[in-house]
Amino acid sequence: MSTILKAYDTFLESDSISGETVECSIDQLYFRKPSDYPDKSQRWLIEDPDGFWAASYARKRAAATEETNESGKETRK
Amino acid sequence: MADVNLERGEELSKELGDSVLFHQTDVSEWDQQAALFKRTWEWSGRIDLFAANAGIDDRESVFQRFDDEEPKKPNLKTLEVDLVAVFYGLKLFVHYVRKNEKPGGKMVITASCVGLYPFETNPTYCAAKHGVCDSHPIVL
Repeated sequence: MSTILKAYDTFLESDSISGETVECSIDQLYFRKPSDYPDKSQRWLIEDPDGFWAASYARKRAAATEETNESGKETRK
Repeated sequence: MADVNLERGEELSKELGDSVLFHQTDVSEWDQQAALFKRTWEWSGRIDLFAANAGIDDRESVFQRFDDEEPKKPNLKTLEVDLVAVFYGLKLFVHYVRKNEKPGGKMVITASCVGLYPFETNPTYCAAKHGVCDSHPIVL
């Protein structure tokens, strides 16, 4: 429990720690990183350097919002 | 402080005094968690830290009871409390901390070491905990 609380204190006292996964064991805090990519293809897929996922989901979400607004208008008629 | 256990919550709240407010909540119910945040906001006017700590282990074994005629729907409450409810809390947290005098705040999710490794005695707990590891950097 004291190690968990040490983790909380670390987060509370820091202005820069964000989006971290911390593993507590015995009295230690281990900041864990996600798995390594096995190859360049997986790295490209996840890191999205060409904005492929970002653009696709922006379009998809814009279409969904438009659909909701349209059906809202229909209902209000 | 929020928990499903009203009796223990009120006992502990009395022990800890006026600086603590206890509100009975089943975090897996959106309406209840939303009511918790609303009450907290009304009571304190600010949210600095949200500790998304509530969690339960597997309610039943995925491997038990294969002798039924028709398969029964499994009890996946563990996923609702340990994973779905964390996303409810995240949405509520962002909604309110944007209204802080100085916008922003901290959210700490209690995961588990079994969020990083396989764990055969509690597969749905393991799945939920994997779900809250590495998924949060997307937001903050």
